[in-house]
Amino acid sequence: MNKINKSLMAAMLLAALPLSNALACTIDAWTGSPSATAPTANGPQSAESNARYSGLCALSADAGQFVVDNFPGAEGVYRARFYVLTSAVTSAATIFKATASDNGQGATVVSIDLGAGGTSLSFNQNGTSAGTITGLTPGRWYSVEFLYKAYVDAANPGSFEASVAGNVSFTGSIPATPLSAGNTGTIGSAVLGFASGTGPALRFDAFESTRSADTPIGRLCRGDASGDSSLSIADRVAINNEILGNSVVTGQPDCTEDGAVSIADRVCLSNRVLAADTCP
Amino acid sequence: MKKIVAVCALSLFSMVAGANELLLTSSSSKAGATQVSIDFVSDGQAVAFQYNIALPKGVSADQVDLRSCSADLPKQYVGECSVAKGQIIGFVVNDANVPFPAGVLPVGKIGIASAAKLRNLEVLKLEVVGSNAKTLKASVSVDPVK
Repeated sequence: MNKINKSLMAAMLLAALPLSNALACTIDAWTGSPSATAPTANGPQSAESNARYSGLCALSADAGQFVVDNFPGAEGVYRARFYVLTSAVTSAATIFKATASDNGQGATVVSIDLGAGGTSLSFNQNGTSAGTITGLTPGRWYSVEFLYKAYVDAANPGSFEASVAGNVSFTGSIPATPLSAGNTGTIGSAVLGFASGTGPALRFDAFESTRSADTPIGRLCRGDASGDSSLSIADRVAINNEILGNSVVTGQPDCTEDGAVSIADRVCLSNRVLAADTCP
Repeated sequence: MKKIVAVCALSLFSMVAGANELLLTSSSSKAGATQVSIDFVSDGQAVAFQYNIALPKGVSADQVDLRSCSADLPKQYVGECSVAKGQIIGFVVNDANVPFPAGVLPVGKIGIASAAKLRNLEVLKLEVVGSNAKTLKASVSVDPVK
């Protein structure tokens, strides 16, 4: 399986920074041309308290702001997963699109729109609706993962499928549906952000993409504040440290997925430990 | 003389190597119930610990009495416990992130009301955590069910 990773965190760049610097959030890993006014990467280490799902940073995008990944190269099989902190957008907002050419240009192969009010996600492939998932709550983190396989021929019609999960207990999915002839678009770039629409800012985190048709990327472990892929009392202590302002955790402390790290997350995590929950 | 030296050396080793230690002491009542006393020996660095004990064979969840599992804790600490997925799970934490004082910390008691002949309790997991959320060395001492 070939894997195309694109982390919003500056983790890959940390080695290049002087150790005395605070860990920096940056969008430098996104190789394409961002919007004219680029979104910002920031996190709780910033002067303001900013939400992120995992690690130290998230992408904050006002209307019209987005980043671009030019790594894909005419991909006929493309899987991507990201987290979005929704908002009550005032008009439908395109939060992701994969296009045929670099820098978000060319035909749109896949697009994902957050509906007005922030309560639904609509998926499109090659200009055709692939389905809508409803019942989301604005102001909550959701993971969005989709798999696009281009139509090749009658024996290999390709397919599109998607799954959404978040706000602790919400799940929704679009089952794999074969494509009809003509849906042959291949992907040359991916756009993530608030590409179109209006409304309050959106935040994004933990973007990953692969060429795998078989292996889901999956969700990160909710409440795993220490980032060790297990849920234990160590995560409660780590969340406490962030609440107390002692340190910022590098895992997923927002157990309630409400966009804030608070005592509620401590209780949430404790409940998961007491229920013997395990990380996926 | 050599024997005395060996005994002293062993004692010293246990004091250093088992600095954080979970103590489970079991006793049986005439009615066939078992009471497990839980104590924790802290090295003065721990702010939290979690234990997972296998539900003894033949014991169902509703035969486990957790009402006093953290009853002996000082008020400034939080203790919770549960039975889930075949385990008795408990933790104690100082949410102010101040380490427990070095020495013995009484935690509480768990009651197991079962006619089943209990074997020694099996501790599946013991995690002791310092103020930086990193795990500390720890050991378990389980007194046999009498």
